[in-house]
Amino acid sequence: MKTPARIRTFWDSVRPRTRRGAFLAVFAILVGATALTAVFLVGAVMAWNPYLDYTVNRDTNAKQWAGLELSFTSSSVCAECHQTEHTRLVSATHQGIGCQSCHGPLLAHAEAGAKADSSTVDVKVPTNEVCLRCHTSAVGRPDAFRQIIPSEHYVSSCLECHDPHTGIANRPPVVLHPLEDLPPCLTCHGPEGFKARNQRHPEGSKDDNKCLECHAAGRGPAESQAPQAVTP
Amino acid sequence: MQATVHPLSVRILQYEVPLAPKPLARAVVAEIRSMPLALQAWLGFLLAVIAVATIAALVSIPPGWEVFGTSPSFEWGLMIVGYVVFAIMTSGLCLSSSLGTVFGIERFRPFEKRHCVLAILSLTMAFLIIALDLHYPIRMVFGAVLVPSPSSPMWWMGVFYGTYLVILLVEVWSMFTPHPKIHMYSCAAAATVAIFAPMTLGAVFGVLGAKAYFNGIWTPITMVASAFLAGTALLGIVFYAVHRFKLADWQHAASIALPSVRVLLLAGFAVVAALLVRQVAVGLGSDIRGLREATTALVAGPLAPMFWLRVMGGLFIPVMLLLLPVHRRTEAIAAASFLALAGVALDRFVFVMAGQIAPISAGAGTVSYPFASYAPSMVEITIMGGAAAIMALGYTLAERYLDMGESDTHMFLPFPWIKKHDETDEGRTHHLAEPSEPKPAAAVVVGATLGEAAARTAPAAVVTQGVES
Amino acid sequence: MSEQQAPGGTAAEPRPTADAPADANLVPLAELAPAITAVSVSRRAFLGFGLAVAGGVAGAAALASFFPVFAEETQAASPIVPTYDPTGKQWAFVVDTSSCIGCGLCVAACKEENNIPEEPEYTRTWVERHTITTDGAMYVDSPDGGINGFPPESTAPGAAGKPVQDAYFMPRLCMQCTNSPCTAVCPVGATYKTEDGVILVDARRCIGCGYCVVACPYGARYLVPAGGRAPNDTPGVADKCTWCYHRITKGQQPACVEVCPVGARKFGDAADPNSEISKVIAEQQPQPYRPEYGTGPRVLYAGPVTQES
Repeated sequence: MKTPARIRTFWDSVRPRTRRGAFLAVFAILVGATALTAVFLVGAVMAWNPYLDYTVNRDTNAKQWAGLELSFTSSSVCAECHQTEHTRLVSATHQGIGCQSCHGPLLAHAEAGAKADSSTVDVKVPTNEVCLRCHTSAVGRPDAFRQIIPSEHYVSSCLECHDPHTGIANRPPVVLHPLEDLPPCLTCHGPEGFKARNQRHPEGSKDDNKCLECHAAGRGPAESQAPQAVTP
Repeated sequence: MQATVHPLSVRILQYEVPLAPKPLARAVVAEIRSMPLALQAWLGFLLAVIAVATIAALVSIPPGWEVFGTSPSFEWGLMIVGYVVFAIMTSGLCLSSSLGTVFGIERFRPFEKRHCVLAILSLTMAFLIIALDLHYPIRMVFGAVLVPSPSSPMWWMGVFYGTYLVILLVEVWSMFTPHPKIHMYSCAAAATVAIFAPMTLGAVFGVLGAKAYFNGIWTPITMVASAFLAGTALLGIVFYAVHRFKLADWQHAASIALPSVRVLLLAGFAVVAALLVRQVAVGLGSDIRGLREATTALVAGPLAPMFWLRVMGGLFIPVMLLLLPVHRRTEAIAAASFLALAGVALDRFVFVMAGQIAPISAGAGTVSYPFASYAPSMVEITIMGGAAAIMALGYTLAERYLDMGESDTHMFLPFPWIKKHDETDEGRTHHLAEPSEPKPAAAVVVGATLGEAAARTAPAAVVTQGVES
Repeated sequence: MSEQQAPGGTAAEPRPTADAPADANLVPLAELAPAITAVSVSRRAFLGFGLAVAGGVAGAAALASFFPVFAEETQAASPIVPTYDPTGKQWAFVVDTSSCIGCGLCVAACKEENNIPEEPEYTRTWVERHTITTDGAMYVDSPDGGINGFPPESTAPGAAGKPVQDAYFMPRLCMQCTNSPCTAVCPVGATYKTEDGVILVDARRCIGCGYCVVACPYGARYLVPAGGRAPNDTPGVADKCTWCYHRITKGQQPACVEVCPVGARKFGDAADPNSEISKVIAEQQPQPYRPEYGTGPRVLYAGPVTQES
């Protein structure tokens, strides 16, 4: 087929240099496009797909974010097995605190279901730091919030006196009897004595002053009452 | 001994470069030996700096970016500043030389070829620095192209500077090969983009409502003004070297180029100083959150030493040098140019610092509250030095092996003040074919080497027209 | 020496072939051309390189048009999580600065839940203590983001020893702004907003430029450091609080809300009039923080922080 005369005239009028330039330009564009296609094809073979990565539709990435693993569970799940502690918790000042605030992430423990044991719990018995994190006196805490100055508050272990779930302390009983002319406390209140202490009581000391740190003597008849623990 | 053309060689401009390893090595060695000692020392020093900087760059390649001094409260550091400085140098070069290349004003024509080579080197270095700063630079190429983000000034900056690089390549190519029309259009295009590109760079900072010091319409304008000043200052430094080392067309360096640089520098100083005064005055009296703290930190806080050094050494002293009678000396203009360029670099550094120094929150990694803190690490400083050294190396080689003199193959847009070329017979219509220094003949057996070609042109040089002093 | 005079008076181009005479290279420079010599190799190299770059870009754009890269975002998409329907969800987050006790359990829980790097400056949420002294100055301190609680006195420089008029704790997190600057300035579009209004970062697309980090007026973002823990297993990319997107899409609360012992943080669906959060919003009338930035923050604050200028 003969090229139309107008096109031939136009082509003849274009300088050879410009013709060469036009061919080179088209060639360069084709080379560039081929190179890019090759890059993408090789990438596709190597499981790197920029079109998945760079599409405007975001669902792939949103799904990735939604599919991450959890560490914490919902604290309401704990009540299914730990009814006692849960009841104590919601009955007192620690109500509203989730179990995970003190015991760490519990998803693994909760998902173990019937086979759950303490090995899946990070923090079985919280240490003092857990309590002091909230209850140390600090500027900024609401005045109504119960705070202590640790150096002025008897702290060997918070759990000695405070029930962790209610938060309420068993106030140590005051000494009900006068102290004169008596043998050391441990004589009667030690393990072999006839008035042994309960199991949760801290280790006794031969130094009676240690006992008197909590069990102050002679506070007066109004306080010589039975222990003021609140039993659930 | 008859010299034979080695069959495997390529012709680059007027040089025959052998491609086979041994002849190439011999040619390179011969060329190095033919250089004067000072030039060898200069190149050696630059190569040493580049070697150290290469190590630093390799250390910082992902995932090694912890060697930078940035932190969550201060994410933009010296690398960003370096990118900004090199990018605005590029734009400024085209802006200041557009007076000669596009508008055809005779006294600015000496900038013609040199600005182009400098601009390409500078922009390449800017891209190199930003590639080292980004944590995943390859992704940017794909991400910016496949998913355009027109809401992002940084995206526009990438578009403009990428286009700018292509235009510069065309401009350089058309400059050293006789394509006057393409050269004219590409110069005009480069000059146009050289206005918009630093404005987008300024907009990258200017849209940030979070950083009150950056925010506002004046940041892009300040960026263009700084660009103009930086580009002109770089030309001043280069043309002083041209004058001093008697490089191509050196007669015009002292008589035309440097006085033109002085005029442009004074204009640039005026604008930059006015913008700086405005920024500080508005900042100190402002109620916008963070702006007063940032400006106070700038003029009287942790940034004060650098800021006042910039003002005194980078504005006041160079202006004095250019206004007082001492300005007739080329050394004064060169010193003023150097101080101006250093001042612009320092100014962009304190600018980036001031914007981030007023912390947004106390917890996000601030160290020295009430000011966020950042100190450039040695790796960053070394990389900056390396980038400057690469640019200096590239330019030195270009000055040596390319003809940087003014050419007569030039066309201009038909502005009324441009005379026709044959009317401006000031001897500038033909470049000097005689090199300024005789090059020693290289004793090379195999092939035509660079040195031989240069040596042969010395005796065969033809001076076609009288040269104006 | 053979020379061809091309039309237009351009320079001759001696071709350096093996059979060309050796003298071909000995032509003095001045005789070759009045202007600088044009050389076939260099010209084609320049032209081809420049056009290949342009052609590559053009080719990429052309190829891209064959793929759904510009698909509309409003296309109906498969559910993120099978039981989760994002339409109509209006997540709301309320922080009560009058109840916060500054225990920092939220900060620790967030680090645990989201595999965040251990260094204290990388945190998606943090607690500040705002101490207002009797002379009217406000001091803000946040030791390690509050992850280990707070010391008894303010550690802000200049606050030591000054009598305190008022002090409170201010938990901070990503505001998930409606008019977010972070999504606007991302040069590659790596950060985006989901249909239910949560702003996420696509770690495969992020280039780590840090523009979003600098653009956030609330300082909620950071770039993940190399080594150690990294959310999404990708260091070097931007990260921020996602309102525990993996939890809320399963009907759970964000980790910080879960562990807060005093209920200072509350989260829920404000579109549901019976949810707790709707009642909290109605009762406490919480306010956004620093609304003058104009970003439309969606975390609302109640308590003394709303009295700040």
